[in-house]
Amino acid sequence: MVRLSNHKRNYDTAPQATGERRRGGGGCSMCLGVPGKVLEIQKTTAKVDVGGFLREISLDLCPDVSVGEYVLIHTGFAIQKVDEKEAEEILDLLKKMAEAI
Amino acid sequence: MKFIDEFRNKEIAEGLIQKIRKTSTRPIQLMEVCGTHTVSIFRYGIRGLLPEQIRLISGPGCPVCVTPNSDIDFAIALCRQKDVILATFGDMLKVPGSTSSLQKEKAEGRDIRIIYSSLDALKIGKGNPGKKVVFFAVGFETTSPTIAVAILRTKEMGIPNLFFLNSQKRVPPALFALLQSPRIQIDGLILPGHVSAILGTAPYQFISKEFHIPAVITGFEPLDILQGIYLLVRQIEEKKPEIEIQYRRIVTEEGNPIARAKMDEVFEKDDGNWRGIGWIPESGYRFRETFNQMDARGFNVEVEPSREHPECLCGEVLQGIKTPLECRLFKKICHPENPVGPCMVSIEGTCHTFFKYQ
Repeated sequence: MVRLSNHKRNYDTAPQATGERRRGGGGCSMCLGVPGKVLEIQKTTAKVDVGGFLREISLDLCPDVSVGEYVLIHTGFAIQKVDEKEAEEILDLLKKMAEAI
Repeated sequence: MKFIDEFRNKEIAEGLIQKIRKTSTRPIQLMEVCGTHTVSIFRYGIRGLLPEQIRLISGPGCPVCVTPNSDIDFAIALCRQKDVILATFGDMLKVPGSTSSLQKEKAEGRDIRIIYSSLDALKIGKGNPGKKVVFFAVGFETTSPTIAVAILRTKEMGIPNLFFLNSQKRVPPALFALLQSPRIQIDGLILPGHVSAILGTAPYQFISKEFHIPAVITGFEPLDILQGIYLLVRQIEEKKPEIEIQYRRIVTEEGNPIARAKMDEVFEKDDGNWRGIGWIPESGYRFRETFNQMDARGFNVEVEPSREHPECLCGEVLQGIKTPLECRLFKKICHPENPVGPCMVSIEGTCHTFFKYQ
């Protein structure tokens, strides 16, 4: 069982108040995307953890995901998988670059 | 938050700024196309961190800002019909039309519902069979596939009272138009990360091939933006323009073909009307014939003739030709509580961002 953080919130009634708004102090809902971890998959929907908040999203645009993977979420849809390996490699590269200066 | 916090590391940011300083030898202007980039750049003070010779200018990148006021007026005319419920994204409410806004109409008692996901429109449609529900659908390629899914599902489920007022835009043709009539010098483009998550790199190739301008698909955290700028500076210095991906954890060369297939199934390319800029060939969509019965543009309503405030500079601001500081209305009569033009409305509009951070 994945433990979510202690925020008390009605997940069903306040979807737009969760991760996407918390991410950067605002932004237009039509451009923002936030990463979320897939907890559970049921046909074309998934439950995801977005920074400690539970959200239900559609997998129509990104069906090929597994539990435990991260997806980028935009207006209630997963639109792309997050490539963890790429993220680590870029951070490593940047760290080395910063150290070399 | 994973994949966000680690891309805000201060030491690495300082290293990147040093690297940019060492690499850059001449004055250049880089345009960030996307409003989310503009907000991040101001929020983290990135303009101030860069060497003076690197100037960042903001482009047309906010679907709210570029929705033409004739479409806002159309939505207003629709919501004034007694049997219509209008559903749209929250950002659209304050956008001024010619004489009103959806927010003012809502205060007058019109039934306007704010939705978070395109699929919410289906629930409203099903829950109100006696009403005509119109989803005022705006967005770039990030959002358009989600609208396509809603349309496909409406057809599958047979929701006869759900219609779509389609005002979506395509980013690459707008970039083509911008580069083709350069009223400003652009030396490099910071391309939008989430639009590109869908598109991949193919639709941008003309930027480097035809216009010989470097472009980097960039993420939205400070390290992403600084690395994106570094890659652009390097391309400019080496005189090797190409379409590079900085935001590799999300964007692949091929993008999201499933999402593009959904869009293709529902829409075909059409000319698009951009507020403040005008008509741009193939920068919008129209319904494919099989979906025509869902098109709210077929509604017979009287729409007022559209007009803009004569002194509003949003058009020039959207093209990066002028900054909000050059507009006579800015901060005087135009502010977030009383926006005159669309760039002041959207949280990602350039005028709003300048108002908040400058």
